[in-house]
Amino acid sequence: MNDLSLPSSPGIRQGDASLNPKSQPEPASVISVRGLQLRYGDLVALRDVNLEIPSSQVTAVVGPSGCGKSSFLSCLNRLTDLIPSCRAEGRIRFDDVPDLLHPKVDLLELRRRVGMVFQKPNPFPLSIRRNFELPLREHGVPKDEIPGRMESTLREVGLWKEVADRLNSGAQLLSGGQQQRLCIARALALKPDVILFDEPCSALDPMSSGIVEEHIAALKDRVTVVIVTHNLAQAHRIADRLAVFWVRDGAGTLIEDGPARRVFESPRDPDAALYLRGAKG
Amino acid sequence: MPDPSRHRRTRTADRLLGALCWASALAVVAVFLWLLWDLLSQGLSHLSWSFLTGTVEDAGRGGGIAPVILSTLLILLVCLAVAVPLGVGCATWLSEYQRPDGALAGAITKAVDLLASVPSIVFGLFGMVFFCQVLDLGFSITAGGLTLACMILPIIIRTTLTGLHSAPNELRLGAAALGMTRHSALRHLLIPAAVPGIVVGVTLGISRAMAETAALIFTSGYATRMPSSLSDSGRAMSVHIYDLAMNVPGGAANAAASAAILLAVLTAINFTASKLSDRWHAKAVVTR
Repeated sequence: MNDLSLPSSPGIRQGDASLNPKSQPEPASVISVRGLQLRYGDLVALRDVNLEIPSSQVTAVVGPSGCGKSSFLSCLNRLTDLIPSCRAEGRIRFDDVPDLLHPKVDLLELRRRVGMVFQKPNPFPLSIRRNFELPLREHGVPKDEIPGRMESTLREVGLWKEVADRLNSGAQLLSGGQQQRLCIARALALKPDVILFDEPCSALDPMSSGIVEEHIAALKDRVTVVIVTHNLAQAHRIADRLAVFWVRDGAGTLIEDGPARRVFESPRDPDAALYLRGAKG
Repeated sequence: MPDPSRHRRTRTADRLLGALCWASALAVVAVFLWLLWDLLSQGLSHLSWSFLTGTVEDAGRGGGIAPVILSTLLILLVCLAVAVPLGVGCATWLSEYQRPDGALAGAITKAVDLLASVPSIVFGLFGMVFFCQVLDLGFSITAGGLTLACMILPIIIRTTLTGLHSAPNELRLGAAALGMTRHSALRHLLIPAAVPGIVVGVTLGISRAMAETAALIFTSGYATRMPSSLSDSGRAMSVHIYDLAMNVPGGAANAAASAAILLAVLTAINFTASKLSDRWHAKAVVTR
């Protein structure tokens, strides 16, 4: 352990920098959401969401249950397409894709570039190696490149030493925390620009949760992270930006967003203020 | 304090229930053993190597049943070659490509269920008209196999559907989120997850097909000579047993012997199928 890594909370450091937001140039946003509306049949789940997601930062999406946080996340990689009655309207620019909601968007490539890690770890019921081979082969990565990518991403999530001698055994034999790190490594192996995390720690024990959280925080050097979390303390620790969702008029919507430190310390929206203080929601 | 007599009463009820369950289980085993005893006591003396390899003589009273066994296996082969891909394909389409509440999917599921409840004699008549006459296949192993395929299709569709539905949705979401095609998710994740279900369907289908008489008399016919091609008429084992038992005086012993063989073949197929599926599953899907 060296002393520099002791307060291992990159969020705080970033927060310090954002204490003085005016001196910081706004980072370029990799995703920009305009007037997003999401419906399940007649039910409006999200209304008029506008959000800029800057690149190479951790954006935490928080809010009470049922305010559409996870639905919002699924719009960003069009996983909403898998739900029969679900319709997303509005505009979401992603990097050079002018509108990722457009029906002609190449979904396979979009989902390679915008990875996702779910609440419950979901390794395929195959060997650890096959968990990497399947998606990587699918995206045309040459066979001889796969072991290298697998090793480097497994190292990145601190799993390599634990699994190096059992790559051919079942991924489901791993503990919950290891499975979740495997899923993060599997998403990373596709070299995405963004990874969406949908409450990635809430199905894990506190110990594993802490380890997974550290690795997520460390990812922002190479990918943009959007994380939905119920855990305000976690958001506090790792987020550079905070987006607070709330239910207004029966539909989820974004009520406040900005640099995490600023939103935590001086929220402008009264509901957001009560929620972040733990008094509501 | 609980009333002691009440306590005794509940204990008696408990014991009675246990005894009833034991009795039912024993009754099932007894029926099976009796059946087996009946078959073997009548047929065992007629079972021999030459019975397995010989041709049918004297309308089945003498000789062996080699052509019957071959015809049965050929009919089964045609039946499975058609029913398995069609059934698995249809179930996959229903489960993965259609909304469960869709009108077309609903209509097809209803049709499948209806098909499952159609008596086999109706399949026989349909097969005779459609395969033998309209498609001009005549009394043939092909016509019989196709008729049986129609009959076991609903079983295979149903069990494959159950298998696919039991595959966790996380597999679909996970694969989609990694930018995998639906085809590849099906091939590598969902169909393998459904394999135990498919195997159950195929074994049930085989059992139903091998036991079938009514659907085959009018379609594959009852010629007892050795079939030389799929367009030959061929007598299935159950048809042979039926014929010996009903139409041939003095054929009862050979009927029992044939039935014993049929039972042995069915047991062997069931056993092999479950072994194969276990081995395949252990190799393709690591779960333990």
